[in-house]
Amino acid sequence: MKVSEEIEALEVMAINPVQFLVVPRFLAMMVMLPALTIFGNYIGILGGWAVCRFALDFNTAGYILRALESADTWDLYSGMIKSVVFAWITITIACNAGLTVEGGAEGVGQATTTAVVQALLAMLVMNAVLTGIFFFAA
Amino acid sequence: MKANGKPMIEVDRLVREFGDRTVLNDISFNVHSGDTLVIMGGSGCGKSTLLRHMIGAMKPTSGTVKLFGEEITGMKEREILRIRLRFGMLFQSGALLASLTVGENVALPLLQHTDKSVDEIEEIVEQKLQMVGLTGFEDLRPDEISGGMKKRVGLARALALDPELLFSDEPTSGLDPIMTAVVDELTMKLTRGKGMTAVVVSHDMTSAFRIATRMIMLGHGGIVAQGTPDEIRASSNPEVQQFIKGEPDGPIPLNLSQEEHEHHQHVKPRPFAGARDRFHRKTG
Repeated sequence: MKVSEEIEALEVMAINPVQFLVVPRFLAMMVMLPALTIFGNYIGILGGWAVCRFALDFNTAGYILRALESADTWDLYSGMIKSVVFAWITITIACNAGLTVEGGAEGVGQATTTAVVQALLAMLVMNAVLTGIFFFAA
Repeated sequence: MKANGKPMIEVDRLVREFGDRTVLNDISFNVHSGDTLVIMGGSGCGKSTLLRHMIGAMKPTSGTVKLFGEEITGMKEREILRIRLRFGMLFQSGALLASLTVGENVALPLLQHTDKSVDEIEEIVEQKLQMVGLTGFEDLRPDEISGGMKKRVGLARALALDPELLFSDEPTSGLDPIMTAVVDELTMKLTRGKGMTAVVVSHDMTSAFRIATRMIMLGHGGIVAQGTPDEIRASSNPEVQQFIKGEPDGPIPLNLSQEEHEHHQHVKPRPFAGARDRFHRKTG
């Protein structure tokens, strides 16, 4: 965005670029990443059922009973908490890269790659930290 | 409208240094209400830097800039916002937001800063786009229109709030001669007709002499010459004459020798070094 004067243009129009560009993205991520996580959980359960039903000869009722037996509500909550933290990490790193990008189209490409790599690494570390905290605290 | 009390813009002993390079050195001038000031000068002489100081996007090393009688150099970001509502700015590239349509781009300042209804805003957008000759382009995206059109949309957006003061960074570069005349005429209609003040950075001499009531020529970080278009045209300064006539030979240095360049950069230039590696990396 910085590349072709847009951010400066926003400032000159007396529009705060953080409020205009970052806040909506931040809110969208905070809502949508947990939503996507819930969706992912459903798909995971469905996939588990498909494997049990068609490859391992479980019946459907057995799968549901076993699944409920071994899963805990806390598993769901901890996943949701992680998704919110990951959303925060991703949006902070990505928006920072976007607001400070320089160097034309090539710069935008590089900033995107850097942001993806940094966000992945940060999430990896944060995942380990959160898992540790949940394991010992719960 | 001229010289009624305080000037619109007062630039006083403005100095800006980047590292040990002085880009602007002791610049002082005033712009009065209703004036059209054209700032000209060769590439890299500090025209755009000067403009950025005048809109409060850059802070000077020393000296002051006053807009509407208020000093903006020491102002906090929040206070500058109030001043910024009173002027419009046209950027060199147009600086349109790529995610919004042409109409939404022009409507943006109105949506953000006024309580007007959607119908009223639509009407204003239509009127502003008509002023720049782009009726019916509301629903196109910036990547669907040409560079010159983007610039005209940028102008429509800069005028959306009917500013008292308009800054333009090269408003006519990249426009065809007819469109240049249209934009010039529009600028004159707003300044001569409605009393708007304009500051235009340009090196299009035809356009500059058409619209200007005052002119400043920058060079070597300072003001080489200033005055009315007639005074500039009659100037005995050889640099001014070379610039307005566009002659290749004269007192303005064309470029630095390699030796001078090395001295400035402190590195030995290696033309095309690494180009092969970059090429392979991208294709491989």
